[in-house]
Order: sequence, then C-alpha cells, then structure tokens
Amino acid sequence: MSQLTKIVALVSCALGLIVGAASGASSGRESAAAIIDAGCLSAQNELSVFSAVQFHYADSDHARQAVLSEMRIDGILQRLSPKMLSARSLYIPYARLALIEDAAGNTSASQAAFEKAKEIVREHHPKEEVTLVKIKQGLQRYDDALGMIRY
Amino acid sequence: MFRRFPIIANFFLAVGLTLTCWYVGNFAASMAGYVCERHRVFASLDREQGRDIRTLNESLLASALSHIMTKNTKESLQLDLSNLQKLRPEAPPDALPLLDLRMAADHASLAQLYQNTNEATSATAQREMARPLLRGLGWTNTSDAVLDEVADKRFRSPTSLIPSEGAK
Repeated sequence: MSQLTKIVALVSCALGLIVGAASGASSGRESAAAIIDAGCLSAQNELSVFSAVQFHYADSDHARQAVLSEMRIDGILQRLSPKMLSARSLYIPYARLALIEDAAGNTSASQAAFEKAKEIVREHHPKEEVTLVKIKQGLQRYDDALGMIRY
Repeated sequence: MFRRFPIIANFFLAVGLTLTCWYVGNFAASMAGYVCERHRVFASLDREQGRDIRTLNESLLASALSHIMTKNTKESLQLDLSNLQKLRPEAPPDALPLLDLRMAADHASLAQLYQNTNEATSATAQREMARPLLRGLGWTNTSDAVLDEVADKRFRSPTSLIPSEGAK
C-alpha cells in the first residue's frame, strides 16, 4: 500500500467518524427528547381523561383522588418535559378539584382550588378577568375536546 | 488496477471508507446521545421518582396501544383483557385505576356482544365482572344502562364517556 493510499484511508476514516459523530449525537439527543415528550404528553392525556371520566361518574372521594393523582404526576412530568407540558393546562385539575370540593360541601377547599386555578390562568392571560363561570366554561371545553380524541 | 489507476482507486477507497465510518460514527454517537439525554432529563428526578414515572409511562403506553388495536369482536376484546391482566401486576399504583376502567369497558363490550348473539348467561357473567371494577373506582351507578353506555362508547373513544354538556 502506497504512502498516499494510507493517508487517504486515514483522512477518510477520520472525516467519516467526525462528521458521523457530530450529526449522530444531536439526532440521538433529539430522539430522546422527542420520545420523552411523547411519553409525558401521552401520560398526561391518559390521566386527564381518567380524571374527567371519574369526575362525571364516580363519588367525590374517588373523583378527588383521581384529580390529586393527576396533579402530582403532572408536576413530575413538567420537570421532565417543561416545553411540551405548559402550565396553561394545569388550571384544569384545579378547576375540577374546586367543583368536586364544592359538590362535597368543602367550601374553603373549593375556594382554595379555585384561587389556584385563577392564579394559573392569570399567569397566561394577565389582562383577562377570571371568573368562576369562565373557569367552568374552560373546563367544559377541555372535557369536550378530550371527548374527540381517540387513543 | 490499483497500481494502474491510483487516483481513481484512492477516490473510491476514500468514498467507501468515509461513508462506512460516517455510518458507524453516526450510529454510535446517536446511541450515546440518546442515553446521555435520557440520563440528563431523568437526573432532575430522584431515583425512585424516575423509576415510578418510567414504569407509569410504560404501563399507560402499553395499555393504550392494546386498547387502540382492539376490535369489536369477542376474540379481540378477550385478548385485550388478557393483555391488561398481564400488565396489572407490574403496573405502578397510579396506573391501576386506569387499567381497571379499561378492563371494565372491555367486559361491558363483551357483555353487549354476547347479548347480541343471545348468550344471556355469558352476557350476565361479563356484566358481573365489570361491576366490581367500576364500584372499586367509586362509580355509584353500575346499572345495565350505564354498562351499555360504557360499551357503546368503548369503540368511539374511552374519552367519549365524558358527557358532552354541563359540568357536575
């Protein structure tokens, strides 16, 4: 093998490895992020749907349990996928909890949950006036939208 | 040939080696990038939390896939039920109520299929299997009408169980 061939082989290997590694590392990172985001979104959707079904069919205790579980897991999922799971939809479980507590006669707990829902909505719509009626409408729209999704 | 046309030979050698090394480097780096990114993201959680979330995601994804693949036939529904039963022992506590709801919906759908083929005993047996699951989820009304409603909506979407008007 001539000296030139050795140099060509060495340079080609180095070039291929460097370019391949550079493009591969970023695509690997992107794939991992996409898979994590998809998993988080899917889990959030499943939990949200379950809370909605329980809200409409189950007793207060079980409906509350479903919402509290959703809130806890949403908090963890948000740390994994902060871009995909915006806090915007987080007002929904609080609004649901407010209605559950209200139906169960726990006025102070209902008020606290409603205030929290208001606070989250205000973060995203600072100029908008947030009322209980609007929150309820938002919740209903959200439940209707969930009803359209086949998973 | 190699000696007669050294430039052409070196050119093909260079192209071949570059592409091969590019493929190997790309594959190795993308695997490494994938593992590093997963590690980095899950590092924001403590070990137990990370494991819980991973198993929760896996259980929910597996049950959702099995649910999507299910057709409105006895065999398909029974296969889905068997998949859900296999998932249940390994699922984390947070996923159990969701799996129970899916199993109840499958039993309700099976009951309806048996009803349609005049197999009343099997239909009743399926309904009796759905009821404790729904009662365990706190459903106050597990009448035949509610089970039929669940069965009717099972193949549209589980989410269509949500009534379309007015909140509670």
